[in-house]
Amino acid sequence: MLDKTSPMTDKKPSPKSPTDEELILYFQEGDVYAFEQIVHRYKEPLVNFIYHFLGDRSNAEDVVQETFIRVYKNKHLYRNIAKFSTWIYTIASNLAKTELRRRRRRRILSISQMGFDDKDYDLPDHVKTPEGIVDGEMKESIIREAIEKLPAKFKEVVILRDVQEFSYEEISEILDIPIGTVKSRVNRGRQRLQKKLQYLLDK
Amino acid sequence: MAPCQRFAQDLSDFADNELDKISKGRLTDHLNKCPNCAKYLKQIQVLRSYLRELSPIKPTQEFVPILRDRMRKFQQEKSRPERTMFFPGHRLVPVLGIGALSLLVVFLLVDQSPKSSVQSTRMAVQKSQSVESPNNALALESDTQDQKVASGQSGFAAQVAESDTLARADSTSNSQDLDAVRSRIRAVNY
Ligand SMILES: [Zn+2]
Repeated sequence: MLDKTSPMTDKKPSPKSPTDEELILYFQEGDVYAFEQIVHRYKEPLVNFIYHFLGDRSNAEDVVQETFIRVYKNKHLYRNIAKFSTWIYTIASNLAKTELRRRRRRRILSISQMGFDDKDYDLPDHVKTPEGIVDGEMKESIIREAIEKLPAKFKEVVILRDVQEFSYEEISEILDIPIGTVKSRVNRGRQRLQKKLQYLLDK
Repeated sequence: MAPCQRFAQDLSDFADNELDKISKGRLTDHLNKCPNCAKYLKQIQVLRSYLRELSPIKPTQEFVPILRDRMRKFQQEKSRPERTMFFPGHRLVPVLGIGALSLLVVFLLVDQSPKSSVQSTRMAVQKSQSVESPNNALALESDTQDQKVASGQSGFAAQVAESDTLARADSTSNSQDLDAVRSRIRAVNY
């Protein structure tokens, strides 16, 4: 818990450490070191977010790289009216969704080439492990897989809320959807996970 | 176990501590009567704790070096269009300068009055300076941009020098006259 990767936890700026908003301001004024600090702060939480969204590390790192490049190129587009964290997460989540669409197109293409109906194409659910022998590592991989298989609109809110602990308001800003929609998607995403992972959730 | 659908949203909000007082009261009443929803709530709370505690995925060690490399490439690409934009403007400077100077020569030949010749020389000098200023501004701007990428900058400087010599070579035919006029301008200026 101490090593939590959410940007929210390491965001109590001491007099020595500037806030994210100050850093981007310094960077806008030409301080490249400020950008390096932004990268240092955000690389891990963003890789986590995108990793869960896309389900694989190398693609996640590509998307996060691209996110930082966009920030670097478009630093002047950031205005101090928004929180920096929601701004950078918006960029990352848009890029991740683009990547997901690209994959879907590619998959449909390859399936149609193989002659399958894409409706039938779905990987079988994770082989259910009997209760009791699920160790920590296995439990994590089962949970991650379940998250990854959620429809994108549920997945993104569940990761932001339950994995990264953003507030409903922040999620609403990042995804540009009303708070009510965030709440209902979180609810539906959780219901799906609960259904899939029931055997892990009984304590 | 699925929760009662009319309470599912409230249960989720309750787990987030986002439920208003009235809804909370109603939900608590229901939970006392409905073991299904009570169990669901417990499972959601366990789920949330699992999700929160997922061990973080660390970016690989190459992440930052690769990113730095991409930033460097972007900086280099960014300085390229400036160079090409630089050319026409910079070529224009000597051309306009030469034009102004030849005008000056004509003035000097026609008007022998020393006072007015000084004035026209000053005018011509001002003119050629004002033409050059955008380039100076450009060069300054490229200096102040966060270009820690030295290679891009030295390339830029080399191009500037090159374009200068090229432009001079273009005007070799006039260069002797030009030198004469230039020294005259200097003399007037000081
Ligand atoms: Zn119920």
